[in-house]
Amino acid sequence: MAERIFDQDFFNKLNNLAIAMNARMSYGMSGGRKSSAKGSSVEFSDYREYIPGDDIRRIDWSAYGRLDRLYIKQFMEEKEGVFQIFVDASKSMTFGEPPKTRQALQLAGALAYLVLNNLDRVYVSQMQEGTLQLGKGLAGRQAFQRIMDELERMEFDGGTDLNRAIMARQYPGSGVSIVISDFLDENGIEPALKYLRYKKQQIILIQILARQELAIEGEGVVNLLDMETGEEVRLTLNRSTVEQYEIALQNMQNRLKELAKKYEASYIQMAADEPLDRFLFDTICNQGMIVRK
Amino acid sequence: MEITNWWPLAFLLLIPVIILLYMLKQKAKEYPFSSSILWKEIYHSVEATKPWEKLKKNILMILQILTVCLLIVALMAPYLKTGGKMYNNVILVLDTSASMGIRYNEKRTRMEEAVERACNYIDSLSETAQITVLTSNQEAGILKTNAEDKQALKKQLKQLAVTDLSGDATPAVSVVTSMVSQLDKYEAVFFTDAPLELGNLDATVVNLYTDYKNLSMDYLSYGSQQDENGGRSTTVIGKITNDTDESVTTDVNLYGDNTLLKVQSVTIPAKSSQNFFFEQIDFQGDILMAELNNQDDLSADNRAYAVVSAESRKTALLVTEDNMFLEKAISNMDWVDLYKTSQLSAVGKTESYDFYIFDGVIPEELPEQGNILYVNPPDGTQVTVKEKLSNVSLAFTDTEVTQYVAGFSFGATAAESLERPLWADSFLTSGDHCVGYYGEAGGRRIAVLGFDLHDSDLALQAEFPILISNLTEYMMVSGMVPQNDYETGDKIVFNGNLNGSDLTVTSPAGAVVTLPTAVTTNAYTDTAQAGVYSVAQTVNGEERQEQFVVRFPVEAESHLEEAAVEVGETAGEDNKNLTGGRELRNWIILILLLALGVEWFIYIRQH
Repeated sequence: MAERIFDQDFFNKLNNLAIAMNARMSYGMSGGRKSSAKGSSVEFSDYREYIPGDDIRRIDWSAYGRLDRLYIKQFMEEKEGVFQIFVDASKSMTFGEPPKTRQALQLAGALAYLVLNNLDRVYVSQMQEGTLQLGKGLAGRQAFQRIMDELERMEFDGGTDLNRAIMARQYPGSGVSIVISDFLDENGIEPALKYLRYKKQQIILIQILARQELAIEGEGVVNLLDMETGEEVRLTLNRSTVEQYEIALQNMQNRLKELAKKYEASYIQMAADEPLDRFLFDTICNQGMIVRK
Repeated sequence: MEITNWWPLAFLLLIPVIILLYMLKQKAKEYPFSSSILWKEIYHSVEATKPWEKLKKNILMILQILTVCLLIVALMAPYLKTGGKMYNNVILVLDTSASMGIRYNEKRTRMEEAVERACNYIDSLSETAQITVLTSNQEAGILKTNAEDKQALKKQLKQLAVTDLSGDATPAVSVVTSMVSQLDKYEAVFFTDAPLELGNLDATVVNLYTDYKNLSMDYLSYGSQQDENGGRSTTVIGKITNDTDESVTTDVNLYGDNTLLKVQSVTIPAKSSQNFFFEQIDFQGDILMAELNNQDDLSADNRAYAVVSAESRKTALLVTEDNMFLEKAISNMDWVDLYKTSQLSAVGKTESYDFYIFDGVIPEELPEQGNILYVNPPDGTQVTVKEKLSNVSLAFTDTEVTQYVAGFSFGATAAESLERPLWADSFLTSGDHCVGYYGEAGGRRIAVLGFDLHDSDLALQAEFPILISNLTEYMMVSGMVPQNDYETGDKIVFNGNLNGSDLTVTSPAGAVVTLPTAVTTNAYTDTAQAGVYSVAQTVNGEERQEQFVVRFPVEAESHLEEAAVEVGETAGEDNKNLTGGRELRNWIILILLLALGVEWFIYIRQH
């Protein structure tokens, strides 16, 4: 299903985008990003006195000529960015028309493409019932097809436990963690955010909700069936209950917003039927996460 | 709180039906949703903040159940028994008039129901309550004042019987009003079946009126004729009234001195009266009784009596020179056998006529018995003439003997101004002069007409025969009982012989009352029971006995129409089911209407 969306025109648009990262990369293989570590790139960073054992090729002979002392020329180490894309693969994601899964997969694909296009490394992981199926870290444009395949194979089933799933991952260095979910998790997300922040991750929370979740349809007495747990809630749908639901939804989004603020994360809402390109160009760019080249 | 009816509880079965209908109606649709987290949040927040909101989704059902419950409670007609407990002075008034003998329901008469309710009410009173019980029919009577012994009072109440008297609780209102004027707190309860004007009195009225079916024997009369063989045959006439809405056929049994004489079937159309006749009855006894065979809701008015006088013809002796006017006028009355003489000597002491007319003369010695009319009497011991009048205008005053002629005046060339005795009333005057009087003296009736009929044009007027008829009827009363026929509650003054013994009156129930012979003091008032009474007196060793009928007051008590007993606004507090408490039904109906209003409002809101 993803192929149809990711047509050439769309890829061209994606090519014009880059993800702006505030956090500098300090871990991972050499890549296209500046790192706080000194390395072997062409970009000059600083001088320092020669210490025995330094690579003698790095000695600045011109400086030795002027100052009669040995200085080592330091350059900025350029490293690749490490991106974690967590996709919520719980059953609730299949709800709605169009279903949230479609949007989540497309969005994950698009973001992965952007990351790969930027010579960064991306891990696409799926979260299900508190477990994390960690995807392989991939880099290079040629890896995109593999990610597409992984995404297509992804199955949505079971419950949601975002905290356990996210905290199951060990993060060796700083990076960007993008969580794509509906966040309909009764345990909340705060422990996970705390953990990610502790692991020096820049966090992006993307909440995808189906149109049917944003605007409740129908009325009368209903047996509300929880798709994940099978739990039934018997209630009367009327103006009053719908109003209360909307308030509860708003409260949940506000809580997420506050948590995001607390842990310096970005929180983005997205409807399942929202056009993906418009979302990428307008919403993401406006939030400052992606800049055009 | 007390309950009047329990049967409406059967309608409680409606409540499961309503719930079932709602359960069927509320078959919930399956509504798959991504997660119930937010919904549960609503559910819990609703539950936590407003417990009653849990009921909100079924508020219509609850309101409907409430409506049914209220309807049931309203049908059960509850009442609060607080009234009696609050008051220490309680006055109960029981209507004992004849209509209270009408059936209230299958078990009881209205009177029995009233007593039952009064007893229940007494039970609800505080121990310190002082209870006064009045009865009321034509007059109010006191049964008990300030009684504290409830058991004794209840026993006394249960012995209280309905009378055959007309009337209602009205006479008691003024009595109660004056009784309570000194009391700060009191409770007055009237048990009656007739409308009641309470005026300013704050009281509770328990209306015991119910629809009823009744036939009444309105009256019974008879006539005697001489048949061809010289014997006497009697024709009996009576009237039956049918108060029901349908035509009724009933047998009428005619009894003579408690022996069945004849039976006749009579059909009376709905809401009307029907006469019946028994012809050529050979009966020589004293008492005729006609009785309805059908059972109805009021049995006391199902029989009527008639006393058959042994001699119904009266004799009169006219002593006159040649007064044709008097002779013609009296002989016109076919029930009077008129004898005429011009000789005073013909008036023997031993011969007895019922009525003597002395025209222009007065015998030296009066006959022993018989009533007397003096016309133009000469001055003497019997009649005292004060002065002679000439060319005067005479006028009749309004009296017993001037019915239909009262106020009529005429001229006379000569008349006598009479000295009116103390026992007499004047019926003819000329200015301040008494020209005619009548009255009773010495066991006989006497009337005086103080002018010669030839000296006036009265005899030529239409009023003359009426006057003579009135006077003759007045005079023809003989014996101890002035009439043969009375209604319950009537006061009877007997004409006992002054020389005889005391009068003994026996009621239908056998109660004997002895009365003095003096007319002014022998009024007999114990006529509360309908039936045949007898009065006896011994004169000169000879016992005389007469019988008379006291009729049931059918007009006042048997033919009460529903409209007449509907309670007026002045007695707004009364209610059929009120027993010593305040009726709650109206309030419940009010709440019921409110519940319906709320239900309607919620329905509109929800849809």
